[in-house]
Amino acid sequence: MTRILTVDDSASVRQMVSFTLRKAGHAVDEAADGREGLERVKQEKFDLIVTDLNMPNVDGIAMITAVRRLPGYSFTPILMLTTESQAEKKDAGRKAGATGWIVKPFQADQLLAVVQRLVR
Amino acid sequence: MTVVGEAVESLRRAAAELDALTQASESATGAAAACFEELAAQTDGMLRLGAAIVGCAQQEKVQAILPRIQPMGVILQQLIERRQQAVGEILDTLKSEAGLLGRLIAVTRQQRSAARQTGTLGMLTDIEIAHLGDAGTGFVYLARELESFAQAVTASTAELADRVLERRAAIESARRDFAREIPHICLELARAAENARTVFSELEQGLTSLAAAPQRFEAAVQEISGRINGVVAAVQTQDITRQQVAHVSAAARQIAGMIGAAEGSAAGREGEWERIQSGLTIQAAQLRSVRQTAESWLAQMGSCIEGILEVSAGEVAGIGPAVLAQERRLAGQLAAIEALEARCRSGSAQMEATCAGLTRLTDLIDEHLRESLAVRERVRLLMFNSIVEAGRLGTQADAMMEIARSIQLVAGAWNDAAEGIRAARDEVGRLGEAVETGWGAFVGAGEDALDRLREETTASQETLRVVAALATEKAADIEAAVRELQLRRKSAGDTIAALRATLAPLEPALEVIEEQQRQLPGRAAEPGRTCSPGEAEALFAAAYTTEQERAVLRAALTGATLPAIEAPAGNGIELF
Repeated sequence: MTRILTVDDSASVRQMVSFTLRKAGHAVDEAADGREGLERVKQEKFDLIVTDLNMPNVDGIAMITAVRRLPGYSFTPILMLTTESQAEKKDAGRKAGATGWIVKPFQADQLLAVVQRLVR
Repeated sequence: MTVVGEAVESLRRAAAELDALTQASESATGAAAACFEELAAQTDGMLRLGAAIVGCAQQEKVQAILPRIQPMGVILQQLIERRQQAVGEILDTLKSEAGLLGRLIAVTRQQRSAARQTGTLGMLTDIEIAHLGDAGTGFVYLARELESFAQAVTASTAELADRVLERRAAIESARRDFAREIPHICLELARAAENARTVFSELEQGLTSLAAAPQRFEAAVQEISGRINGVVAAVQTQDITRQQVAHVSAAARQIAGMIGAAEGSAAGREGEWERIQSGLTIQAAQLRSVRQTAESWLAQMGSCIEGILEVSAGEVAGIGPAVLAQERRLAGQLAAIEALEARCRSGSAQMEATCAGLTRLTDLIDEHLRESLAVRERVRLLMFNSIVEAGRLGTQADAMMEIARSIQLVAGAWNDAAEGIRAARDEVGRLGEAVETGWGAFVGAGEDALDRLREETTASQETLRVVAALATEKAADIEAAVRELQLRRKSAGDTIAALRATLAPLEPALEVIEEQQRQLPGRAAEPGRTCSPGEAEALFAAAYTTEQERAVLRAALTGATLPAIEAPAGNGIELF
C-alpha cells in the first residue's frame, strides 16, 4: 500500500485529497502546514507527498527544499497542489525539487492517474 | 465620529466579519465534505452489492440461457400447429370411416336381398321338381343347396350388418367426443402456449436486461464517479474563495488606513483617492466573484449529492426477484401444459378402443368376404349345372331354365356385393391405419415438444435460481442501503444550508464597500477616476495566492465580465 502525505492549510482540501486517494486504496496522512508536514516526514517514510504552496508557518516551497535534504527523500515524488499557476511560481517549485504541479481544483481521476504514474 | 471615521470603522468591521466568515465557512465546508464522504462510502457499499450480483450473473453464464429460452415459443407454436393438423386429419378420417361403414351396410342389404332371392329360387326349384317328377330328381341337390346358402348367407350378412352398425355407432360417438373435446384441449393448449410465450418473452426481456446489467452497472458507476469528482472539485473551490475573502479582508483594512491617511492630510497624497477608488472597485469585484463562485459550487455540491442519492444499484438488484418470478411463472406454465397433455393422453384409451374395434371389424369383413366369394363361386357352379340339366331335359324343363337364368342374375348380384365388400374392407383398413397414425402424431407431437421444453427449462431454471437467490439476498441489503441514503438526504441538505448560511456576511460586507465607492467621489479631486491597473495591482495583488483573484482584478479594472472558476481540463497537471 502506498503511503501518501497531504499537506494543506485547508482542512476541506486535505479531506478531498485523502478521500480521493484512500478510495483508490492508498494510505493517506495529513498535515495542516509545511512545518507540520516536515515533522511528519521526519517521523516516517512516505512514498509520495502532495503539498499546497501558500501555507502559514512554512510554505510549500520551503517545505520541499527541507524535505529534499532529508535522507531517503531525494527521489520521493512531491506534487504541488495549489491555486497558483504563474510560471515563476512553478519554476520556484521545480527548483525546490517538486516533481509536478497541479492547479486546484483538481479532478479526482487526474490526480489518481498522476499518483499511479509516479508510485508504480 | 466623523464621516471618514465612520467609513474607516465600517470597513474594519466588514473586514472582521469577513474573517469570521472564512473560519465559519471552512468549518461548514468540512462538515459538508464529511457528509459527502459518508454518502460516497454508502454508495460504494451499494455498488459492491450490485457488482456481486453482476459477477454472479456472469459466472453463472446467464447469457447462455437466452439461446435456450428463445426457441421455446417456436416449439410450442409447432406443437399447436402439429396438433391442429393431426386433429383435423383424425376427424376427417373418422368421418370417412363412418361414411364407409354406411356404404358397407348398404352392401349387406344387397346381400340380404340376394339371399332372400336365393331362398325363393330354392323354393321354386322344389315346386318344379314336383312338376317334373322322376325327371326332376337332378334338381333336388340344387334346391337344397340354394336353401342352405340362403340361410347361411342371411345369418352371416345379418351378423356383419349388426357389427357394422355397432362399429359405426362407436365411431360416431368417438368422433363426436373427439370433435368436442380435442379442439377444446387444443384451444386451452393454445392459450397455455400463448401465456407461455408471454412468459418466455418477458423472461427473455428480463434475461436480456440481466445480461446487459454489467454495461448498465458500469455506466452507473461512471455516473457516480463523475458526481463524486464534481463534489471533490466543488469542495476545493471553497478553498479558493476562502483565500479571496481573506485577501479582501486584508485589503479592506488597508483601504481603511488609506482613507484615514488621505483625509488627514490637507490635499491628500497625489492620486491617493484614485488608488482608494481602485481598491474599493477591486474588492467589490472580488466579493461579487466570491458570491458568484459560492452560489455555483453550493449548487454543484447539492446537485452532485442529490445525483449520488438517486443513482444506485437498485435496478441491478431488482432484476433478480423479477427473474425469480419469471422462473416460477415458467414452471407454472410448463405444469399447465403438462396437465393438458395428461387430458390429451386420457383420450388415448377411447381412441385405442376405436382402433381395436376397427381391427375386429376388418377381421369380420374378411371372414364375410371369404364366405361371400365362396357363395358366389358355388352359385355360379349351381347356375351352370342347372342350365346344363335343364338343357338336357328340353322343353319340359323350360321353367327350370328360367330358374337357372334367375340364379345367374343372383350370382351377378353376389359378385357385385362381394366386390363391394372387398373394396370396403381395403378402405376400412386404410382408414384405420390413418386414424392410428393421426392419433400417434397428435400424442407424439406433445411428447416431443414437452421433452424439449422440459430439457430447456430444467437446464435454465437452476442457473436462474442461483442468480435470483443471490440477487434477492443482495437486493434486501441494497434496499436497506437505499433507505439509509434517503435518510441522509436531509442531513446532506442541512449541511449545505448551513454552509450557505456561513456565507451570509458576504452581502453586508459588499454593501459597505459599495457604500464607500458611492461616497468617495465627493472627496476625490476627479470623481470616479481610478489609478492605473499596474499601480492597482502593485498595491492590492501582492498578497494574492490564486489565479482567480488576479483574473477578477483585471476584470474589475477593465469592466469585463467576472470570470468563473472551472476545474482545469487536462492542463491543470504538469510533471517536471
